[in-house]
Amino acid sequence: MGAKPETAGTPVLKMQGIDKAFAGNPVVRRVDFSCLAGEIHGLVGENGAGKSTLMKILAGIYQPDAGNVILNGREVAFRNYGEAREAGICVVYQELSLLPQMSVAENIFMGRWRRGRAGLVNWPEIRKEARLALEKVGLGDLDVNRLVSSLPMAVRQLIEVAKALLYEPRAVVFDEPTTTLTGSEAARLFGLMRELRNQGKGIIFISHRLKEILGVSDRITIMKDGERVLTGPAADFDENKLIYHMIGRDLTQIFPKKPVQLPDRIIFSCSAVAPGGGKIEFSVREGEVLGIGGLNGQGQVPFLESIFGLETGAEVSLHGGSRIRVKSPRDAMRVGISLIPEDRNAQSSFPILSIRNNIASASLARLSAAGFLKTWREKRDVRKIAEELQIRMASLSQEVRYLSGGNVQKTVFARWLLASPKVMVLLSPTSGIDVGTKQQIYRLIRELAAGGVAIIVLTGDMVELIGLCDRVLVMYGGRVSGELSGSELTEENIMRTSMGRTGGEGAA
Amino acid sequence: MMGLWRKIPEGWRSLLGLWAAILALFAIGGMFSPGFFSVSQGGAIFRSASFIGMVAMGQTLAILIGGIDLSVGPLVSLGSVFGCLMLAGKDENNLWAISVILLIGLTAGILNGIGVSLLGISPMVMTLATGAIITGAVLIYSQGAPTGNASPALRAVGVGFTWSIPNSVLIWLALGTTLSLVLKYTTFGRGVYYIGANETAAGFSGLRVNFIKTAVYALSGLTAALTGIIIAGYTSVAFVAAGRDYPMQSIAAAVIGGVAMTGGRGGYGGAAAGAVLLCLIESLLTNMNMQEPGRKIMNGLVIVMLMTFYYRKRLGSGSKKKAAG
Amino acid sequence: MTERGRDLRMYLPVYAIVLAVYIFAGWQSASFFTWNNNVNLFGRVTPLILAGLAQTVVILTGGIDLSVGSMISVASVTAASLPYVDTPANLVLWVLVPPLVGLAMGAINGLLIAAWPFPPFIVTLASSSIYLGVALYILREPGGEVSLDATLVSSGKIYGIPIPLLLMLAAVAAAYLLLSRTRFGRSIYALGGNETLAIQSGIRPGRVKFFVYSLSGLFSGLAGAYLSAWMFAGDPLGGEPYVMNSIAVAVIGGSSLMGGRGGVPGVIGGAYIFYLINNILNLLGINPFYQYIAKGVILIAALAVSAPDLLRRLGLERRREQ
Repeated sequence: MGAKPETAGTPVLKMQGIDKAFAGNPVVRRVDFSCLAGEIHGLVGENGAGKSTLMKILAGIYQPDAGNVILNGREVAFRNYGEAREAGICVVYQELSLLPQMSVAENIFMGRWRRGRAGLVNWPEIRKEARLALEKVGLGDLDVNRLVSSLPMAVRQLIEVAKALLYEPRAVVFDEPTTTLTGSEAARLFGLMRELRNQGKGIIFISHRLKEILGVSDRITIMKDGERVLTGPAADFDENKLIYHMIGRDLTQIFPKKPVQLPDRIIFSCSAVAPGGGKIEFSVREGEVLGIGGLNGQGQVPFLESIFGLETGAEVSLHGGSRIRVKSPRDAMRVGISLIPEDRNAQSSFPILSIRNNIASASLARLSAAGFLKTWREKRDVRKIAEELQIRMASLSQEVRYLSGGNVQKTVFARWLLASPKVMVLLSPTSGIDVGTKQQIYRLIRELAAGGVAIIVLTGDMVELIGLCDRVLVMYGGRVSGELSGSELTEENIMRTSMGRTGGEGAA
Repeated sequence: MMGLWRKIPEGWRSLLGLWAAILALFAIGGMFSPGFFSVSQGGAIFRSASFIGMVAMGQTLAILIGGIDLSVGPLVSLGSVFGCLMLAGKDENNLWAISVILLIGLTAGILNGIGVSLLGISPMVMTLATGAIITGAVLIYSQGAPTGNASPALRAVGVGFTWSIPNSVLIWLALGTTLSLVLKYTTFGRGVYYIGANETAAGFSGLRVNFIKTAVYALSGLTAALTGIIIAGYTSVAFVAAGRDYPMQSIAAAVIGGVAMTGGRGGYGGAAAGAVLLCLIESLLTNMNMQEPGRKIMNGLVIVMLMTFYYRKRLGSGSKKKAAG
Repeated sequence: MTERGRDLRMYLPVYAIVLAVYIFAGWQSASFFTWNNNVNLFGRVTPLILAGLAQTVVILTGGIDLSVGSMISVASVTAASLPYVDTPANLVLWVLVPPLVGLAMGAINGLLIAAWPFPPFIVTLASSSIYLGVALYILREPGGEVSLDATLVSSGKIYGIPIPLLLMLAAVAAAYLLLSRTRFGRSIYALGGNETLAIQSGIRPGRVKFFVYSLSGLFSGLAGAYLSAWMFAGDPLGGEPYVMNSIAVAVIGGSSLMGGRGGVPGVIGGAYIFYLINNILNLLGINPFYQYIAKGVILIAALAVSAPDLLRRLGLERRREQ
């Protein structure tokens, strides 16, 4: 773990009594937070716990409703990220802030082109500076004229760090930087973080991987429902304790009971082209919840989308029937396969349309005759299902963009429940949702499975894989690297198979 | 009173507001010049509104799916020029000539739809390009100097009245009502809104996105060509430039009527009111002896004013929304 | 792929077409390669390049400017309404006033778009109508007088090089430097590429938008002034074709209407293709009405070929992994 400085330095930054609400919904409540010089401060909490909002307030992207930010003992109020960065706070984003169609050098200096004579950008100078900046993160031999789009994720992440360091920051926020990295790539990043810490910078590290947090951080702050639960030295925590404070209860309570014995009846089988070459064959038994695990970007999404007729299309068979090739989403829907995409806002909801319209969208054929909608029936069915799922709303004609993340996801579920599919492929169905709704969605998934729907869940959340699924296919490098069920379904086994059994360097 | 007003759904409120504005403008017109209230004056206003309104039917559909159709102008010209040339003033040509022209409009629209949906060309450029091709076809076919006349039957449609209402207005009323109902009560109409609100999500919901998009542009081509034919009946002789103002005016009508340029929001009722409002203002200003420059300026100002009205909600929270990205 | 590789790939189709058309024209008509024909071509293409630049800077941010045509008209009638005295001072007026008028009109657009969440399409649609009204107010019909010195600008020569060519090169060089070598220029690309990321990098979108629409006005003003000199008169409707043509030129030149992609070299190529087609059809003695069809077909072909996701849409290419 390297030598962690024993003494806590002076605070680089302090946030006191921060409040922030969006459209009346409090997202951050009376949060105090501080980061010392020469420490790595881990920040954990569930999606929606307010970590990101807190960090965006720190970076000047949002302005707090109440409370103040103190940097180097001086109260500051940033109006935008540019000001925060000049003052010494940099953020390395999870969703990388690099423009893929621009060169490395240009990205590093984006928003900072002020050198040169006569107001012109001095490209040779910038390329030189960019090379120097890249050396600091161990990318000295990278061609700065390359387009970012042609580089692997791990390199982009390091460029992002190089870009931040250019501003000689006092504090650097790493917002889930390891999401897209493999083990060894992440280790390289941690080394860099430690180096920065030893230079006396304050490092704030956000991650969902609790092992990383425990391994790298000096202190840890836990947030839940917009409030700070507690802060303490990393040595005081273990994973269970972190989880307990993050969700406010023991894990066992969130997940519905798994069936002890599953019937042997196979209700769905599929043969798909594996993104990494070869084939993936699998089947789902009645009442079973099949999990798909692995590190991010190991081909899970293209594989699952192929079941829904995207990509190359898969061959499927329902209830032992004949094999059908699914060539388009419409083919898939015709045989009863539905897919809930990963990105709620971009891919599955209609933000500016009413809840009624959102829920009815996949059942138009059933709710109409000769192309005409039976609106009374639509209203009746939609209302019924919305009440069943306890969607919190003013009325059915309320626009979905005014709902909270959890309720939006419920409308998406409601849509597919109304369409009564035979196979449901769920991509990260609980990301960014509060615990209460999560619990409800887990129960729903179980009920659906028990009701004879074949369920396939992709999730990057280890806890979810173990707690929710009966069986898990772990993917690595575009292939299935392991199948785990029953007592084999442990964190160690999932991690081991996630790295590929050989544990070598992966394709990014 | 205000409480009652707030209870009316947003969409209906802007529609009521538009018609209130139209009535108010009529009253103002009546005060300035007594002739403004006459049936003939009202008929003339509604007749020109019917032309813009019919073109705006397709335009509204295109905008609702997040697109735009700039080829409506050339198609109106085509309807007018081809109409007069093919009809040559004879009723026996009605059937084939009108069928051929409508077929051309439909084909042009389908081409637009294929370019936009299958080839992924931006709608503005795709319809601009087909528009250029159609303009070329019109000029070549007419050698730049169109001849011929509308047939007597078409003349009757263009200039005639039924129950002292211009025939073109009745046609518009029938078609416009149908479109409103289709948008509200059919799966096709619903699909249009789904695509405009979020095309990806519409695809994931199993909608035939490419088919609906192509159908929308096909309908737009069809209504534009039809309008051109009716305009030929009204003017009797053809003009190459007959459709020049229609792309922008149909867009303006839709926008004034509350159809959002980003798609998925608004309805045809608003666009129809927008068409009436446009013609009413034009006529009012003409009646007040305002020259063309002034009328153009007023036209622009009205759009800006109505924008402030539609976007007033977002004006307050604009900066926050931007930050949330 | 490197930066230069991208630029080359982006402009290659445009210039390949220009070259092909050039060669074809020279082969078909002996008079094509004559100095006179090319000088004439420069003279005609200049306003289109200026209008294309006006449109391109806006399109790069993901916006659109439908008022380019009306702004050109206003500048053109302004130039033709300036007091007719052949003095050097008058030439200065002619050089300064119309572009400044354009700049002012563009600034108004920019103000409305930057300060409020109005879509650029509608703002410029409205302002286009307003500016057209202004142009018609200044000059009801084509006419007015343009001082002789000014007309020299469109037909004169310095050391045998036609002034239009020099002017065009100056404007193009300025625009190129601005877009590729200044902080403001790079902010335009960043903003068009991804507004959220641009904000995260400390770029203020409102400012950039304001300047971009102002710049569009300035280029339109230059185009209008030039047009008045070319035609020896102002025309209140003279700018109208430039709305659609400027969009077409920008798009043929490789600009994406979504923003973030495109640039000055493409505009020149795009404008040239546009006029070469006219030129060839004229030289070949083909009915000029076919120009419209040729333009439409070229526009669709250029876009269909360069559409980045064409292969994917036709299902010929696997989609990029996440």
